[in-house]
Amino acid sequence: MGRRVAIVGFGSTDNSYEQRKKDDLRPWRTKIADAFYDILANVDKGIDPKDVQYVVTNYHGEASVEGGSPAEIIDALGLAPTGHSLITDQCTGSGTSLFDAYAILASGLHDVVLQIGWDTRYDLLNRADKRSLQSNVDFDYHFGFDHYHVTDIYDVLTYRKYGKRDSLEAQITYLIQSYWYANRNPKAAWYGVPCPIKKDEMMSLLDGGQEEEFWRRLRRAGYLSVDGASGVILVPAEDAKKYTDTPVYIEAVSQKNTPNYVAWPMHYPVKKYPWASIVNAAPGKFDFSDAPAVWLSTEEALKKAKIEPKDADFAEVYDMDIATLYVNLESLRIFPRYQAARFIIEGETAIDGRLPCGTHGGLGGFGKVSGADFSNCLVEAVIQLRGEAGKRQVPKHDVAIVKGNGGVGGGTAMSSTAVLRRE
Amino acid sequence: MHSLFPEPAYQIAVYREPLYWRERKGRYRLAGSRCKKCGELWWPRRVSEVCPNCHSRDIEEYEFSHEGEVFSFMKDSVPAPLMAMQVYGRDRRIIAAIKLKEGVCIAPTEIVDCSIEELKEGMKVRRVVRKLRRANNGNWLYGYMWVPIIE
Repeated sequence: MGRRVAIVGFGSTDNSYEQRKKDDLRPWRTKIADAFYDILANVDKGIDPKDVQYVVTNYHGEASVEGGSPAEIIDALGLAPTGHSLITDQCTGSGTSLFDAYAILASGLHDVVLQIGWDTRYDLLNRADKRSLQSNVDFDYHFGFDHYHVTDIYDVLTYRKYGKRDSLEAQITYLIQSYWYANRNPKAAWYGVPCPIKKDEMMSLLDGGQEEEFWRRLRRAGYLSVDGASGVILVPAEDAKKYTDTPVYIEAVSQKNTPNYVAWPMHYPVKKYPWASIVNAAPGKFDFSDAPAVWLSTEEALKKAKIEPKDADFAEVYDMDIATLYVNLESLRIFPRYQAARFIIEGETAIDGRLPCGTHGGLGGFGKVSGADFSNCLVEAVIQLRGEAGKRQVPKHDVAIVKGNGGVGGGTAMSSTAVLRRE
Repeated sequence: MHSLFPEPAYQIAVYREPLYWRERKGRYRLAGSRCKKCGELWWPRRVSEVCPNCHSRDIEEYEFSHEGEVFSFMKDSVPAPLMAMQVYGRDRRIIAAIKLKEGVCIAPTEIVDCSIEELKEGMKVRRVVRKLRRANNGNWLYGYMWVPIIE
């Protein structure tokens, strides 16, 4: 397993509306520098930027032209000539960069490693690059159907498994909960934004046959995509107290990838592959929404960390759509398969629930920054573990699980999982 | 817009003609891959010529059955004026996952010549080749779609 690794610095850009109003002329170079200096400021006993020995960053990737080279990013951070690896792995990219930063530390190669996830939505020369599947895969068998269409199919499969009404009630419940959390997080995109929907009204629309109006309101309340960055500084556990009295330890990181072609896992019969038994789905019913990468990365991380699912106090997971949230929660095995909707409806992901989840406002409420989705969750988990989350502080905060997903395969072609623990 | 090309001319830069040429057998004949060592079938074709099942590189072309059944379907609900209307000339398509006779699924793909009310999961469908859109050089590109089999 190598050396034990601790997080001593953490930080992110400010995604709040007030800050975003000032951000028009601030490109990605400024954003990653903002995150870096926030990380430095959060090292309790201070750290010299020149002490950073290696840097691992990531962005969403695909085909954005100005994706940046390692040298450009090191220059933007003012850290030249420090070594740097740049990763692109879509929405789980910052999980992958954490994995690499962790490996560099655990192996003893370097003693102070900076990890940053970042993304930009507005500097793209070709905005379509972000949407086109052709840039995700090296063949075109999608015929113009893109990531969003795939999410739609994913939803249909989810309705089939969980029931449409339960799925949508859970979606509304989680969305309202995300507004609650975001309004207690000054850095969240929805901070100060009242929740525009009410559960009773929404469910009345659905039950009364006014589904079009239901969707109109739901979409209006939906997530906000922003530019941003976030990350952490890692050091060996034995050095952690030099930097802070409250380090957070990384017990395990796991990363798994499966193909982007969405129908790939649907090759029947699937009995000969391991995932059918791992996800506890009937082989004849198996489809891409069963997301083997998510289950496999969770299983490996829990095993490496030597913890049981019941040990997790809270989770920060990829929660951009309800189907992905379900599979992420279910992979933790805290409740039986296909019970995720009920788990959310019954309030178990709220602050007083069994497994508080998305406490920074969720990816949507905090501000969707694809390349920093995982690291935003990671930073929130560190804040919670240190007991510094203020009004959104979860009551029990000893062990946290952070999960990120990415890719086109139902949004879950690749998945990263980290297990964190405080002293 | 040039009179020779009355269809919307906007093109997305990431489309690449060599890619369409390379994949023509797959797009017109449903040619995927079969591993000669373990017999596993793959759709789309294994471009890397590696079998993920047995790690053999002994891969051959395999033409899949042109008939299958509807695994799942839905109406395109994504407002996509750029992609759907300007490039493909239509919106609100029926998106589907089709399970071929070999047990391999194709998704996402499109069902045509049929209203969504007529569709059912498990319904038999057959492959057709239809115009998809114009390439950057003005050529028409074609691709497979599916129509219900009326028995």
